[in-house]
Amino acid sequence: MEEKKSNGFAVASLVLGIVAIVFNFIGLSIVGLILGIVGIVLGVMAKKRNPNGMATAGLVLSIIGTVLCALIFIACAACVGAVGSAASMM
Amino acid sequence: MLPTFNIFGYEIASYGFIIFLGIIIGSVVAVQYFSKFHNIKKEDIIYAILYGIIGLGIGAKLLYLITNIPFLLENYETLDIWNTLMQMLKGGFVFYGGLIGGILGVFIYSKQFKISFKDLLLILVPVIPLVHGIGRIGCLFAGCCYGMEYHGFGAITFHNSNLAPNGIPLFPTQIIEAICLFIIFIVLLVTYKKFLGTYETVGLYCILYSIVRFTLEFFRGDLIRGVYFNVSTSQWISIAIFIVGIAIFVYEHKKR
Repeated sequence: MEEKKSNGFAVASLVLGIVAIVFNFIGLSIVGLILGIVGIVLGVMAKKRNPNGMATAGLVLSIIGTVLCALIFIACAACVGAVGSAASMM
Repeated sequence: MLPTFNIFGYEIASYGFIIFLGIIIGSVVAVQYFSKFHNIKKEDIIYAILYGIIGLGIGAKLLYLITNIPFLLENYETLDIWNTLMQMLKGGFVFYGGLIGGILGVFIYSKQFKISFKDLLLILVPVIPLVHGIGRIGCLFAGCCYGMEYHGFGAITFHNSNLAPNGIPLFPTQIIEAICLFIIFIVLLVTYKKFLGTYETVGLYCILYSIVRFTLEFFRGDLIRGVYFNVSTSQWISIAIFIVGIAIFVYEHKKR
């Protein structure tokens, strides 16, 4: 039962990782970022409970998806300034 | 300086890329060096780092949004709220929020998989200034976290920045903070074996960084961040972290 559950986590992580990467390329980086983060957590849980190839693939793809989305979405991770630039755009 | 660069037609933020490099370097140092002194599997350290990074991102963003609530309320009628919120999500992190969020992320991992939080913390804390220092170089590229107007030695003048005022010589807060952070990393590295097994390393980091941050805040020029009673949000948090750091250090030192 536990193994089945962890396999579910692995599949979910794999799917979320792939979707995050796809979303990155179609301009939905913010959605991809959120999905990638969820994929990482599920991937870690799957790896801890039942380490197998699918869990590893899910974790790796989720990390890649999250990193890609973060690099594209976070245009400028200033410690301040976003508000200022938004205001100046008005 | 160089806020963005292009790879295969995609615009990549220099800050994001540099902080990513910093996280990779910090993770390698934690896994390859600091883990040697603790009985924890390298795999667990990597997973804890992943949880920590997620917590860091959420915490840094949350505190940034919280500090901007007064600005949003003041300018509610003149701002395009949706556009402003998207801009705020894209840019803007507060380090202290990230620090607290990151530690919380590692704590959740340790509880979820019953791994010693103390050991994880002691492995990860010394690399925080290293990653943070590299991140500050990213700030320099992005033009954020800039200093006040300054005409002395080492002044930086931005020319094409969306964040820093262009054409005005500024105090090099990013470079000075990066240097201070690398020095803190070296201090923690040198004293690591001496303080092994206690939280003294954590206390020392809190004390040193809060002093650096509190002082450098006086030279910062990005005044949009929250200021309460002439002291910025980060300075208030620095005072709290300094007190916590002293308490941890003294308590752990006496316990030895």
